[in-house]
Amino acid sequence: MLKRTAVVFGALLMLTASNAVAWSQTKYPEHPIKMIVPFPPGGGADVLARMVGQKLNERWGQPVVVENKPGNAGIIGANEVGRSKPDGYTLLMAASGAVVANNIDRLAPVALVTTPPYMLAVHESLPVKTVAEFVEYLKKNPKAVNFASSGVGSASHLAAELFMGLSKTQMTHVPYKGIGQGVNDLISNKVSVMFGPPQALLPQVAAGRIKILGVTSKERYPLFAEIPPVAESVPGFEAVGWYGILAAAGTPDDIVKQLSDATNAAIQDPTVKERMNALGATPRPGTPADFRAFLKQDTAKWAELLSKVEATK
Amino acid sequence: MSALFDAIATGAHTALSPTNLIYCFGGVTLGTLIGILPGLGPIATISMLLPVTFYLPPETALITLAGIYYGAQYGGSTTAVLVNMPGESSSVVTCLDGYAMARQGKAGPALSIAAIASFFAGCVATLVIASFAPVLANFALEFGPAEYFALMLLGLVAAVVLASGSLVNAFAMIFLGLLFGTVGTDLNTGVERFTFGIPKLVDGVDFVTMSMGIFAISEIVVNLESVQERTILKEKIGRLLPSAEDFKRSIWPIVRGTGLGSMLGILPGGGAVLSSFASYAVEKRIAKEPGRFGKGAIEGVAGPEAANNAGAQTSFIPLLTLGIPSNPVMALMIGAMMIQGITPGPQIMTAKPDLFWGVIVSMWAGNLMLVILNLPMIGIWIQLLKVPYRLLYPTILLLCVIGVYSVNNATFDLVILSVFGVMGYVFVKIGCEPAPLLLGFILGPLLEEYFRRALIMSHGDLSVFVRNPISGTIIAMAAVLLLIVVLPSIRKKREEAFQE
Repeated sequence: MLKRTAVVFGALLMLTASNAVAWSQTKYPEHPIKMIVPFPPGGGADVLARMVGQKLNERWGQPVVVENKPGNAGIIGANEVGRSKPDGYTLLMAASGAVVANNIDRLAPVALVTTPPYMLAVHESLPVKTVAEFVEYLKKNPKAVNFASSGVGSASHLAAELFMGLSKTQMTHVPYKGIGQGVNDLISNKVSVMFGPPQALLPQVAAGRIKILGVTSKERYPLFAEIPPVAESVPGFEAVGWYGILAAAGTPDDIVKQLSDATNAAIQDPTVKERMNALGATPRPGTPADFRAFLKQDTAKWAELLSKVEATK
Repeated sequence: MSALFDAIATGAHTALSPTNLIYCFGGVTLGTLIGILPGLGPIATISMLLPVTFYLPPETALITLAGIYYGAQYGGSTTAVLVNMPGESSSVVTCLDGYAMARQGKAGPALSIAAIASFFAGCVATLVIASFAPVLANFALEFGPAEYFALMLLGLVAAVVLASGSLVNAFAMIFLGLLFGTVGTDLNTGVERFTFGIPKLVDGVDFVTMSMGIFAISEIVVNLESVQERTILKEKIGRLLPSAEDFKRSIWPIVRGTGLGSMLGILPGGGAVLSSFASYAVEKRIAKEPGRFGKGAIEGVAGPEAANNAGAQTSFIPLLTLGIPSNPVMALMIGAMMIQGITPGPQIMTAKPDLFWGVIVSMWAGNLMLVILNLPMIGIWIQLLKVPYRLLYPTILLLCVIGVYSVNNATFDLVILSVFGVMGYVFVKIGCEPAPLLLGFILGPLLEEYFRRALIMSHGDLSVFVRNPISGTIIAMAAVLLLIVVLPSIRKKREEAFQE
C-alpha cells in the first residue's frame, strides 16, 4: 500500500515538474496551425503549402491545416491573414500578386520558399532562335506580334511589359483567364509569345510546338542551366515569381524565428526538393530579414512598372 | 487497330487491378453522393481530397478523382428529378422535365432513363477518347476566339428555345443573366464592374451559389406556401422502370445527346453544362410536339443526361493529350498530377501509358459500376419523396449552406445565396423561368471574352467573325435560329403549340 502511494506521489511530482517547464516557456506550437493559401487548390502555392505543411507537422507533431481562400489574385486570403491574431497559428503561403502595397504592412515575412523563373516562349513557327533575333524581329514588325498573359497585372503580363520597355519593342497584349488558356492558344499559334512558368511550357517544347528563348532570372537557373537568361540580350531584365510564408504583423520574433527555421529545414528536405524541381523551382532558404528585403524590392519594382504602363495608356 | 487493343490491354492491367477497382468504386460512390447533395459539387470534394491523393500512386489518385467527377454527373440528376434542385450545375436542365415527370408520378422512369442515358453516353465517350483523343485534341486547337464566340452566340440564341413560357420573359431572363455575368473584374482592362467596392465580388458571382439560390432555396420557399402539392407527391410514386414507349422516345435523344456532349466536352469553358443545355434545345426544336417539353417529356431528361455525362468524360481529352485543363475540375486534376510530381502535357500518353490508358479503362469500369449502383438505388431514392417536408427541407437547406460555403470557405457566399433565393422566389411568382437566366450567366462572360480577344487579335477588324469558315457557318446558323424564333407568324404557331 505504501509502495503504491509512493508511486502515485512520484507520478504526481513528475507531472507538476513537466507542467512547470511548460509554463515557464510557453511552447510553440501547442495546437494545430492554419496555413491559408489565397489561391484555388491544385496550383503552385497549394502544392508547396501542403508539402511544407507536412514537414512542419512531422517536426512538431501538430497538424498544419491548409485552407484555400481564393479571390482577387490572392489579396483576399492575404488580407485575412493580415487581420488574424499575431500568434503564429495563422500563416499565409503567398505568391507574387497576393502581397501588395496595401497589405504588406499588416504581414510579417517568415521565410521565402522559392523564386522560380519564368520562361520566354514563342511558337515554333516564329523565325527566331535567340532573344537577340527576337528583339530584332519585333523591331521590324512593331505591334504585329501578340503575347498572351494570365490577366492584366499578372506576372506573365508584367514580365512582357518589362521586356518591351527595356528592349524598346512593342507587342499586342492578349489577356487570358489563367496560364492554361494562354498556353492553349500559344501552341495553336493564335498568339505567338508568352512569358510563363516552366512546368506549363516545357512539356509543349518536348512536343515540338513551341521553343524557349530564355529564362527570366538574372543569371542562368541551376535547374535549366542550358537556357540562357533573357538578360544576356536585354540588360537589366529580371522577372522571377516568388512563393513565401508570412504571418500577421506583430507575431513575436521567437515564433517567427522557429517558423523560419522549420520552413528552411522543410524546403531542403530531399523529397520536398525533388517535388519542387518538378514544379520548376529550387529551394531558396534564408532569414525573415532576407525575405523582407526581397519583398520590399520586388513590390517597389512592379509598382513602378505598373504606373509606367498605366501612364502610357 | 491492334495498337489500340494493346493500349487498352495496358490500361486494363492498371485499371482492373484490385486496388484500383476499389478506389474507382469509392470514387464513383462518393461522386454519386455529392452529386445528389445540392451545392456540394465535384470541385469542392476533389479539392478537399487532393491532399489525400498525396499518399496514393498517381494512377490510383487520378482514377479516384475522375470517378468522383463523372459519378457526380450521375447523382446530380437525382435531386433534380425528385425535388427540383440541381445537385450539379450540369443537371439544371434535368429539373425542367424530370421534376415535371416526378409530379406526374413518373419519378422512377425519369431516374432510370437518366441512369441508362448516362451509362450509354459514358461508354460511347470512353470509346471516343480511346480511339480519337489525339485527333480531337487537335480539332479543339483549331478553335480560336472567333469560333468560340460564334459557338457561344449560337448557345445564347438556343437559350430562348429553352423557355416554355412567354418569349419576352425568356429574353428578359437571358439579359438579366448576361448582366450578372458582367459582375467582377474586366479581363481586358482589370477594371472592376458592378462590385460596389466589395472585395468578394471582384471575381464575380459564383455559379454554384447562384443556381442553388435560384433553384433550391426558392423551391423550398414556394413549397412551404402551398399545402396541397405536398400531399400529391406523397401519394403517387408509380412504376420504377420506363415503359417500352418511354424507351422508344428516348433512344434517339440519347444518341444525339451523346454526340453533342462528346463534341462540346472537348472545348474549354463550356463542357458538360453547355452540352446539356444544347441537347435540350435540340430535342425541343426537332420534337413533333414541342409543347410537351417542360411538362414531363422524357426526351428532355434522356438527351441532356446523356450529353452531360459524355461531355464530362470527353473534357478529359485536352487534359490527357495536351496537358491543358478545359474546366476548373480539370485544373484540379492537373494539381493532383503535380502533387505526384507528374508534369501534365502532350508527353503523358507516350511517357506514362499506364496512367493514360489506365484512367481511360477505369472510366468504362466506373460507368458500369455507376449503372449497377444507381438502378437498384432508384427505389430507395424515391422513398425520399415520402420523407416529411419538415425533415427534408431543413436537411436540404443545411446541405446547400455547407456546399456553398465549401466552394470558397467564405461566409459572404451565403449572403449571395440568400439574395438569389429571394430573387428565385420572385421569378416563380411573376412567371419567369430561371434556366435562360443561368445560361445567359454562363455564356455572357465567355461571349464577351472571346469577342474582345478575337478583335484584339484582328486589330479591330470585325470581318474576322464571318471570314473564318467555321465561325461564319455557326453565326449563320444562329441567325437562322433567331429568325425562326422571333418571326411573328412562326411565333404565333409556337404559342399555339404551347396551348395544347
